[in-house]
Amino acid sequence: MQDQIKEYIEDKLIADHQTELQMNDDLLTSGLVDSMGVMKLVTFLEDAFDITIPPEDMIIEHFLNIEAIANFVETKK
Amino acid sequence: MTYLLHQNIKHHAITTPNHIAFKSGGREITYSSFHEITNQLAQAFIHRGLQKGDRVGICLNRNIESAIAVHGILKAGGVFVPIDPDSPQSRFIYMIDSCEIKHLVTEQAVTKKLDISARADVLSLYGVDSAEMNGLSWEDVKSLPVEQPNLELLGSDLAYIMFTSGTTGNPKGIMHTHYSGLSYAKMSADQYELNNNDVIANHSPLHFDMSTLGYLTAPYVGATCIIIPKLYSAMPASMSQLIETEQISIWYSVPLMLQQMLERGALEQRNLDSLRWILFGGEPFPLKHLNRIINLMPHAQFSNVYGPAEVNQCSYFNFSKPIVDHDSLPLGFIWENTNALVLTNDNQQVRPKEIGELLIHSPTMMQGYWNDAELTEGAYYHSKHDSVIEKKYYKTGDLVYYDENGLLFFVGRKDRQVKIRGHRVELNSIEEVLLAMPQVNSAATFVAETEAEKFIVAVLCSKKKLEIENVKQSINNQLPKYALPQEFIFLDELPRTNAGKIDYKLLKAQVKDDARSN
Repeated sequence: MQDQIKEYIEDKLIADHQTELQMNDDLLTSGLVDSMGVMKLVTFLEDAFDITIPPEDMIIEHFLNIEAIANFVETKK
Repeated sequence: MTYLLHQNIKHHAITTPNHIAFKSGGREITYSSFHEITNQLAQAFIHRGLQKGDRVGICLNRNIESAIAVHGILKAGGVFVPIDPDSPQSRFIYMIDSCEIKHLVTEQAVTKKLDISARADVLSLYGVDSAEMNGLSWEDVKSLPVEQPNLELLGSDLAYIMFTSGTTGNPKGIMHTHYSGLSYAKMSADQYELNNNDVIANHSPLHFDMSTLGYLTAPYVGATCIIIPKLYSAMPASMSQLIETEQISIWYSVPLMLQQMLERGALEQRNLDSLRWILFGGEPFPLKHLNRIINLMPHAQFSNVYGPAEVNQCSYFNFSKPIVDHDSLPLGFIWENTNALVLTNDNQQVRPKEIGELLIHSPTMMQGYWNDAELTEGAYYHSKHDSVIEKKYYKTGDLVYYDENGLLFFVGRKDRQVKIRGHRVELNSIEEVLLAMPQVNSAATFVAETEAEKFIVAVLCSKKKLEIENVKQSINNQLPKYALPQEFIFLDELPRTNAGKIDYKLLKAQVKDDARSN
């Protein structure tokens, strides 16, 4: 799952495709993903893993890095 | 006497050394450490040849380092130039070249995206550990002497250059001195009675003028400034959580952030009692959204902050109850130590209710536009109107009027006033009418042109599906015929600049692209 998320962020959300993300790369302060990106990412997670993410789950802790996103998705399955 | 923007930091470092100066993304720095590291950064610049008045770029995300960069540069006598880390490469290069920037404070996350090596021969980097690009890491900076450089700096020295987003042509560099920047810091502190117990939430990226409250006013009064990272904009529930956990007392953002918290921020679950002031500005706040927020925050005072980046702030409208007696939110009153003129096209003062352009004379006024004498001269109006001394007024380009009680109201941008079949139309007032429809969440209008004619396009966002016929019906009797939009487009969301304002340029391009692909 982590690889799938990583691939999506790298291919679809980061403008320059050279950047390789690490599982614990800080998405919060790095500015790598913007707010439009987060919206796209949520839609992707909902579709790819068949989950629903309500607004109250859209919190920083769940999106800090790839690892955190994967852990969060697990809890929603 | 305080006459420099960074001057009070030393005082706070002595009197309240352990008080938090800046906090961001889980990290924080006390006034004592902030004073020390900004001194060390200043030493680094000077050691590497920085001369008084040299421009220094700051290309950082919203983090503690961005605040250290601002005050480190000022302490070295430099002029800070914020550069949006999300800039396209061409704009980044344009700013480096036009300001002849030789020193750049940045970070790895930025150098991964922007090709800084394109200017590697001129640039000295700070904040990154890179031997080939002449980088000095924060570890290196921390090994330098902690004494503040002893320089002769004046209030009239240049302090920063802020570039406008530049909807047309090249971006304009707005020059502020220590005097104009500090005048804003003093006047905003005075207006909202800010003190060192305050926790000020800064939402704006450094390159956006609304950041001056957090980056400049907060350290002036010795308050704590929370620099909110960009990702929070997409997470209103975290944003509202932050108000509670950080006990934020002063909030300052564009309307969009507050609207998002209202819609998806679980505000009713939060304890918002710490909020003393909700300041907002940057663009008009639709009353129906604003009034709902006021009801959720009964303890807070609200202020509509207005002023182009060229003058920082020039007016305020304070209130704490929902606005029911006006159709739109007033700009309110011109603040202290500031003169306003409202003039018609032939430079006559307007009568009540008559629309004219707002002109401002104030100590917070810019010094001019960087490297552009012609543009600078064109920006001012000279008047001996109410004094024997000739005064320079900044022409805001905003159309306003006074109501019969002397309250100032915003009508629209002069350059958003368009002529349709000979009639003068304010695009803003059309947006106001559209927004008044209960189903419409946000609205934007612009003028499109075919070879034969000009016409108005309305772009609407609503939660529920809207029928064009219904929209037409409900606005038909509220607007003159020539002001009725001829084309309606429905979008999920309006494109925004990364400061959170509606991005009209992008919107037009998007709509054009969609039309082509259909």
